[in-house]
Amino acid sequence: MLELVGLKAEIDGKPILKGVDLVIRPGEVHAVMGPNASGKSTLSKVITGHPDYVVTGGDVRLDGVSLLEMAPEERARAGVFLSFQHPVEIPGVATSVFLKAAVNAVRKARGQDELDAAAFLRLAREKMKLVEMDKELLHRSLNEGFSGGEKKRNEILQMALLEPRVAILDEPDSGLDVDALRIVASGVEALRTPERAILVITHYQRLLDHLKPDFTHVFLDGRIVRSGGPELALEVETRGYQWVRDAEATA
Amino acid sequence: MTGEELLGLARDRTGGATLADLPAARDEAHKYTPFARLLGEVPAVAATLRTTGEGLESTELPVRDAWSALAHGATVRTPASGRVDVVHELVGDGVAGGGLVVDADGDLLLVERFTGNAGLALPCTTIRVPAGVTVEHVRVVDADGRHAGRVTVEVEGGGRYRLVSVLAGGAVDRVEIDVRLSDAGAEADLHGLVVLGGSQHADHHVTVRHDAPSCTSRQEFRALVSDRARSVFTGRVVVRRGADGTDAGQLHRALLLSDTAVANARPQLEIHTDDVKASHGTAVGTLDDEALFYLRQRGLDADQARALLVGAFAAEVVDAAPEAAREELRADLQRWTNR
Repeated sequence: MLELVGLKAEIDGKPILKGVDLVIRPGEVHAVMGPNASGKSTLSKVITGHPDYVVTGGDVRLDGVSLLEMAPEERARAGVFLSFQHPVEIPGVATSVFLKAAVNAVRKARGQDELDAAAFLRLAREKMKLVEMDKELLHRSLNEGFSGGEKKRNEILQMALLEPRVAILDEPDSGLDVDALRIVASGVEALRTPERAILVITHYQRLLDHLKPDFTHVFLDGRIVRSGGPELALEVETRGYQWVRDAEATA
Repeated sequence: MTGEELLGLARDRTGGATLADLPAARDEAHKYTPFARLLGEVPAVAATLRTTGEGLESTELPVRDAWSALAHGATVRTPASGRVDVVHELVGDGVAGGGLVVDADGDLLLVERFTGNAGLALPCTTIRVPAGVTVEHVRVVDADGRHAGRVTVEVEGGGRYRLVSVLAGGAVDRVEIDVRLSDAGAEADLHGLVVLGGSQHADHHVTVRHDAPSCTSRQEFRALVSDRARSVFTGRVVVRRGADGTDAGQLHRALLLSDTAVANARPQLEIHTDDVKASHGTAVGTLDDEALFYLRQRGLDADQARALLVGAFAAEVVDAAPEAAREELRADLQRWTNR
């Protein structure tokens, strides 16, 4: 479904991704773990088409079709979703207005009827239950003054509304307390379907305790250096990244 | 039309009364909007500023300058409370003054709208806000001609004046806003928005005078500038000696939507007392790339994403307007940002 083939990318002339190979099939949850500045977030930005990054080699394919020439919105409409590590605050745009515009942009691209205000509100209320989100937030400016937990829940709400084929979750656990983490994780768990591929980027094991990945990858210096099952995440948790680094150095 | 011709027209109206000089080319207050530029190619003939609205009555306005001279015979006075809607339509291609004198005697919402297809309007609005009264003032310039307006406000003790001034009209628009806080506890809350494209030019020139202790003033002026247009903002705060406990804030933000759009901002603080809280800030920028990417990642195309961000920037000014006037301002914005 989602294939990264020898993916290389740079920002301002500085190479960040140095040849990433990864295949995620429908229904699978993959976790990418790695220390700070290893290029994990860049991976998510490059897959979704952030204009600051230049792809210098390799390919990103969805069902065999390259995404690289597609604009960010075309990738989104094709079903690629990114839950942002730092969701952007946009004063003056009501959350409900934004969500409705996004839902209808994606529905239109899929040949579905656009939702009117009442139908959208019904859908939004239903999906908000999934992440235990306060309905009041719909009337507030997008992410403005939201707590860390509210922002992350809002991201998962958007995932629920947009029903992507591939969801990339960039540190959905960062800045969350234990309760918020549980809510976000159970929200994602509920959105795990046999048709959907999920890529979770995280530092920590604790999210993966809730959200059992099928595969774990360790990311170091712009590449995947080790892949395994859920046990790899546990090993990283107990032994740290240095162990992988040392193993790399001696390999 | 030259300045001399304008003075000539004013003298004709007043039977030769002595008039104060017009702003000269070297006048600092007209640095970015020279008076000659305001006059432009407008023919040196008198036009009419037709002022309509409920409860208006015609009176004479004392002649002080070209503004009031040209307003001679076209002045309306409204002892007012509740809601008053006034439309000033410039009829004909030429120059016309007009005046509105408002003596609020209770809480008031005043909505002034300037329209017309050509010419130069020189209107002045004078408002007195008595003790304990709140005057909300929405002033929209949406005329295709030129506009050199004046708003003069005096706020007495415990009075509140709230303004939303919008310039979205013709080739050159300028409004001088002069607010005097004359007794303790007076408040002024001034908001402005300019929406410009093509080679339009708009200038908000604001002066707030803290003449008494414990007065509060806020200024928040925004500009949306595209193409080769230019926005000018001058925000002057004068705190008189003895005006202790003054709290004055000023914020200017401009969003430039093209490489050739320009925004000039000049904060001017003149503070003659120590016990004062004064702040000012200006931010001139372009649309936030991260916000654009976020919106596009959710499926909005680049144009939709830009329109949403531009609309949001302006909407924050609309939200500062009284509830009763927001709907029409939103409709205006839709029209302006789509043209």
